[in-house]
Amino acid sequence: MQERTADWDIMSEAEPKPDRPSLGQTFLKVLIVFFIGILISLALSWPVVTNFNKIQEKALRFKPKAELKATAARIGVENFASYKEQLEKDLAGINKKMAAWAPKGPYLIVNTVGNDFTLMNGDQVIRKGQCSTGSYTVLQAGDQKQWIFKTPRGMFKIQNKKEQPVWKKPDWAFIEEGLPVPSANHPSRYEYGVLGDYAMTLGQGYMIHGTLYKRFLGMPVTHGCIRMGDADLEDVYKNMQIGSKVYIY
Amino acid sequence: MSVPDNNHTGYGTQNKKKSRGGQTGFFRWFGRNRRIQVIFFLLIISVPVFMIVYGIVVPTKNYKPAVSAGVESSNETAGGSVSLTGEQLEAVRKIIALENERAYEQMRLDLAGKDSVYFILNIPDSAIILEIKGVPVRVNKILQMEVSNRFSLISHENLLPWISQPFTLERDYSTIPKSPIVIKQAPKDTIEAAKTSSKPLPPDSTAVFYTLYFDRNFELEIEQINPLEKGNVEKVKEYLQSKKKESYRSVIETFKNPSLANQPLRIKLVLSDTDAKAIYRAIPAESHLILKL
Repeated sequence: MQERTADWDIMSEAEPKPDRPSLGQTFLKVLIVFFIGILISLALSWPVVTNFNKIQEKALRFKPKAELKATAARIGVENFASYKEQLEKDLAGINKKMAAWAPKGPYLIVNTVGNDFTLMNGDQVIRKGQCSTGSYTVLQAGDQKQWIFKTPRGMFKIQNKKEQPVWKKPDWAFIEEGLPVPSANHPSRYEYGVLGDYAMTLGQGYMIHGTLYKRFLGMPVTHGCIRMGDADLEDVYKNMQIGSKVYIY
Repeated sequence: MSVPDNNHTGYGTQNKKKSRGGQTGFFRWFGRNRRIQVIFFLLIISVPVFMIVYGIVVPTKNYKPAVSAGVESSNETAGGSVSLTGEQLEAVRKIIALENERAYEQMRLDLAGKDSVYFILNIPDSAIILEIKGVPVRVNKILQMEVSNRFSLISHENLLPWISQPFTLERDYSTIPKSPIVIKQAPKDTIEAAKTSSKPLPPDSTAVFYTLYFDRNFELEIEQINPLEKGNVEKVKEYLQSKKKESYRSVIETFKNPSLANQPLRIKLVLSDTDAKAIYRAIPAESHLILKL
């Protein structure tokens, strides 16, 4: 300590005292350090921000898992057997009611996204194949009229079955072809052979029928009806009865 | 005794060149100033540490595993005094499984009577099932799954009321349209009709990503496996960007209110592209979901 004091004394005599930086300079340096520090800090915290939920999820692993004691307390240890029996009884009752929703006999599942179908009987697959469903085209005729060609979804029932069906063309079929719309029962409305050998009606004007455009099977090209190839249609027609369920999704 | 080196003091000198002097002077000043170094180090770690402590450690520590405001977690303490043997624990596990199964089948039964199309997320069987009126019409295998760890922390007493009601879809966000609608103007005459192409449009190959936002704070994220950079790439980028923004918003929310209880419970699924698309297109706007855990 004494030596150091001496050094300063010598220095002060030998050389001029070094400039102490002004308060402003020091403040500027501290400010730079602070600014750089904050920038680096924010950069380091960026991985935390981008993986925040993942880190939170990992942190949750250290918490104790849920315990069973509360459930045991609610039921009472002495009631375990009887309560379990009651639960099994309830479950059997629900399953019985649920079974009532299962189709009796063959049923058809139509996938409008993949344009395919599955003919089923219980858990057994009878036939699988391609079909064509609604194109989702909206046909606009002026400001007043428009039709959307989509296949409805949900559960339907076969309402009627026909062999060698005749298509009674609706208004949109004429409008789509740029033709004038004829009267309701005009002969030009009836077309023979375009629906294939069989047709099954689902209600609301929708049908399952055959097609002349077999190259389009597997694609969404129809006006809402379900088109099938000849062999598939025949199998579906023979298996499905009036009242059989058709599930479309 | 020699003349002390000015550099040791950390102070600049007039003899140094001005240009280098400013920089080297700063670094020397920093290099010699232990206190500033400590402050600098503390500054560097301050934001990440704050984020980890306030955003992760505190909410995790304070997290009381309850899933909705209506369900109190006080039941946790109700069984505090109960001590169970191994056999009794096994019996409780069976009862829990039966209660879950009963709730699941009851929901199926209720929806079969009411709803036309609904879907089931069956976590134990890694399957997503589309049902119409109680009949499974499509069963898809889940290829990958990320289930929030919060589910395993919530006791059966809290979880059962939450999963005993079907979830209702409130909104969704997707890279693909719900219905691939094409608008066509009716031709004026047969000549114009003949010019109109009757060829079906090629299928949309945009990678399928979507998030389904349900009531009761539940979110289901679904994406296709191996998303290819095909189709509407912009739409996919937009989706991923939006998910990032959503994640940042959740970080801000956590800092505003450091509690996990308000954050949605999430499950993320990876399906094949056809399955992901079929599920999204098949479910109605206000679809119902049954969650089986």
